[in-house]
Amino acid sequence: MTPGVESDYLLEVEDMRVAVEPPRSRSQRARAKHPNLEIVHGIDLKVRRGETIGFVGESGSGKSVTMLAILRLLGDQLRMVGGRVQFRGTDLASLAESEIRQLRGRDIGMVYQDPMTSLNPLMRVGNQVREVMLVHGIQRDEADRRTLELFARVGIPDPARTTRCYPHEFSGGMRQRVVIAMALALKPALLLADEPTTALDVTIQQQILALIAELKEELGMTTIWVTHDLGVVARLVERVVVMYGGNIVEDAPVRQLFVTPQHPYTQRLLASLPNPRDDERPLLAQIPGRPPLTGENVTGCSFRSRCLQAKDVCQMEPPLTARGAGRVACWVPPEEWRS
Amino acid sequence: MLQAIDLVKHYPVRHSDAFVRALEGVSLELSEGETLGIVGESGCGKSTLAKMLVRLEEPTSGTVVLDGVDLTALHGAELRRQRRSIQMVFQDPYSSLNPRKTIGSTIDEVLRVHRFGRSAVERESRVAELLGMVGLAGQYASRLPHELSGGQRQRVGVARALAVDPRVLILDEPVSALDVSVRAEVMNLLGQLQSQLGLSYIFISHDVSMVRQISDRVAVMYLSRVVELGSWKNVLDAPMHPYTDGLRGAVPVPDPTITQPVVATVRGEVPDPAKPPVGCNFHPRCPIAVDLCRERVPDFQEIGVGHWVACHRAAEEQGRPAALVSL
Repeated sequence: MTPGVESDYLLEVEDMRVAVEPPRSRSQRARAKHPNLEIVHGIDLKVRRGETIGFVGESGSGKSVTMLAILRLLGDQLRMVGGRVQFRGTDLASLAESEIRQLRGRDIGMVYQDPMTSLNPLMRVGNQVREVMLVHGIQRDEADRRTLELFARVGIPDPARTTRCYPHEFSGGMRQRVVIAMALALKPALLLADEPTTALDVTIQQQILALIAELKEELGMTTIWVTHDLGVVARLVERVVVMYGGNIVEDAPVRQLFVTPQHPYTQRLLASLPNPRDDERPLLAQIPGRPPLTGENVTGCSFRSRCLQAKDVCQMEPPLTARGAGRVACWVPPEEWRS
Repeated sequence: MLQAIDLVKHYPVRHSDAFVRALEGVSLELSEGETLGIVGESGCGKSTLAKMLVRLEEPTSGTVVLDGVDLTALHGAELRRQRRSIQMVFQDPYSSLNPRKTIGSTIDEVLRVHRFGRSAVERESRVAELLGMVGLAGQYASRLPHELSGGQRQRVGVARALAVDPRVLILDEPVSALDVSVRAEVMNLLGQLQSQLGLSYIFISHDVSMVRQISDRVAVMYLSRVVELGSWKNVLDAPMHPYTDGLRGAVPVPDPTITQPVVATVRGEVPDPAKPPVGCNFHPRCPIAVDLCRERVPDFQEIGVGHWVACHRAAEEQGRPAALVSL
């Protein structure tokens, strides 16, 4: 890989669009009737070195697809139909498959929700971590030594014995620690974590969150957390990107986002959570209606039909524009909101 | 009204004479119109308890009593009649509805099984009424589950449970599979139905914030036992058991302006229920365990009005909240 011009940004995503591929078996005519169903509508995002970003949104908002598109892991069903992803100044689309495979794992680590999707059930967990290093050209002795080190570092007890276990012998929390060890084996510059603790119990979640936060400090890693849990976001990240209906609707420093949300969706979403310190326990705020279905063609603002603040102008699609220390895609500023 | 008395459930482990101890003597009471929240992590026995209350599982020992009638001793027609009184709502509205049956016929089936309504017409109007109760218009009767959103599907789950006029609903993680904004809608609906119909709820969840939102009293379970029980305010805001305190501290609060613990408040993992520790089940993970905790199972004692705790140290520290857990 030839590094391009080094900028302040580790990752730059420009106007990225992802669409569902029409099934191949369809006739030409049928395909014409099913134009590209776009599900991610032009993502612009710049990630600074060392930043911790939270990507939040509900199911179908496009947050996981955005992550997969960054990694060029969309598979057969989805395709990036526009835009550009640059990592360290290099356009990822320009890389050969073998080059991007080198990049994943070495420069970009990944942790997913269900550790079993990342682990081979028939292979000893130690070998799986070791293999990551062997594939990337590290010598056997060195890989063996580092595997034991990594196990200890991610808090798996008795590495000499536990590296020889199979995934089924481990609890969910321990499996996720193995996946984290795999993701961090080559000290990647960027870690993408997609709901890494959603399947775990809260006490284990807390241990894993603390572990990743520590490792991030140690390695100076840039991290992107994809989650639906606003508590995790509040505890962990510096900046939050909120997705809705395949768009970024708000992007702001974490405090600003929670204290003075600029998008009505963000505001309603926060209001729908119970306040753990309110003794009155009032009814939770609901968001009427439903989010747009995948591929549903919405003109104008995609939140418009559910928005209490909607005006005529919202029939036009709002651009993501700077406001305060962040960005928001909404025509109506909070000063003009009806309560 | 509903009582679980000293429920024990042991599952035999295949090819061995060991047992998985899912429940070790759980006793709870539920009053008319009350919501009892049960909170705990995976493997604590909360779902086993739920299944036992509706007799989907038989207890190894212990009884479930409804209005003085021992449900565990009933059979046949009598069991079916009593079963109507306690109904269950499941976690996942995607897998608990038959994907090939319309919403209407799913609910109609419950009515037929329990011999509710004499004619198809009568049942049809009951289905419409039930859907109305959960805020779904009558036309949803002809829809299939996949045509509904997650929140609407869970509304159907509730309507199905209400079909036979129960007095108690066992809600097993009813909002855990739902998106954040949809949870609010289902939680509010449950509150509204309770006051309308005078229902009693057992609300089972791993989500402390949802349990806090809906419960009158809360029971905290850990590895097959209830470790703390009391009013929601006492248990969740001033816990006396170190596990409750750690669990509460482990839940990330959606507020970046407050300082949250960066280190784990509960270390280690839940032990294997086939090989529970000697003494207090929680002692291997407990920050304040002493020798006594490694030797004897703590009694479940009342240390405040209606506030029960199974902890040797809590009794000793009576009157002081378990914030004594200094990390």
